[in-house]
Amino acid sequence: MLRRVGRKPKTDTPVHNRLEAVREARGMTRADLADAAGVHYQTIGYIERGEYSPSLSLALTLARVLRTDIHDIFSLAPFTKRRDQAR
Amino acid sequence: MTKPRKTVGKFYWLEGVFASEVTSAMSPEYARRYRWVLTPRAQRLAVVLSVWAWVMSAYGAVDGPGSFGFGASLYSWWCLATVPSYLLLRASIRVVADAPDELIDERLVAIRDRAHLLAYRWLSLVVMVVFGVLVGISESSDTTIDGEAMVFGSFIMLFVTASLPSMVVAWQGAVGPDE
Repeated sequence: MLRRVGRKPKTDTPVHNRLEAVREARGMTRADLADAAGVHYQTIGYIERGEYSPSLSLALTLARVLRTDIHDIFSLAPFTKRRDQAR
Repeated sequence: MTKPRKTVGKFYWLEGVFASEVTSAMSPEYARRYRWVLTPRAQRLAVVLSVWAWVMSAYGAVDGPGSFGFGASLYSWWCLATVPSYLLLRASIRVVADAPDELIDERLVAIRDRAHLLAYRWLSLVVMVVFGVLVGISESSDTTIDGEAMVFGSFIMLFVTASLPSMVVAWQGAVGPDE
C-alpha cells in the first residue's frame, strides 16, 4: 500500500494536540487561524486531526496567535479531561 | 509560508508557474468549484491518462510515417492528449508539485519535496526503460528511428520529466478536497 505523503506525521512519538478546542474557544475558524498563522487552511485541519505535526516555529506561532502557552495546545501525553479543565 | 511582497503577475521561471495560478489553486473557492478534480479517483485517473497518452504518442512516433508523428497512424494523435492531461494532473493537485516555497506552507513544501525525491528515483527507472527500448529498436532490422521520431520522443520525455512529481503527489493522494 502506497504511503501517503503528508497525511501522517513521520514520527514514532505521537504529538497530541487540542488545537481545535483552543481555536473554538477563541471563536476562530480554521481559515481565520490559518490566515493569522500564515499557513494554508487545510494545514490547520491536518494538525487538528493529528495527521500532521507542525514544526516548532509553526507550533509557537499558533500558540502566539491563540494567546496561550504552547503546552496548552501540544503535548507528548494525551490530554485528559482533568488536564483540559485545569487549563 | 512567507508572505511575498509583490506576487501579482509574477512568474516563477524555475518552477514554471504564475503566482496567481498557485494562489488561485490554493483558495477555498477553487476547492469548491473543482471538488471533482481533487478527489483521489480523479487524481489517479489523471495519472493513468497521462501515461496512456505518452505510451500511445511514443508508439505513434515510431509507427507514423509523417513528420512529428502526425502521420497516418491513429496513435500519433495521442500526442495532443499529453498537454491537457498534464494540465489536468497539475490542477488535480492544486499545482503543489510546481509551487515555489514562498507561496506554500511547510506542510505543502514537505509534500512537494518528497514528491520530487520519489519522481527523481522513478525517472532513473524510466530512462533505463526508454534506453532499453531504443537499443532494442536500433538492433531490429525491421524498424528504424529517424530524426523526427527522436525529436518527437524528446517532446514526450519533456512531459514525463515535468509531470513525474505531480504524478507522485496525485497517486499518493497527498493533496485532496477540503475535509
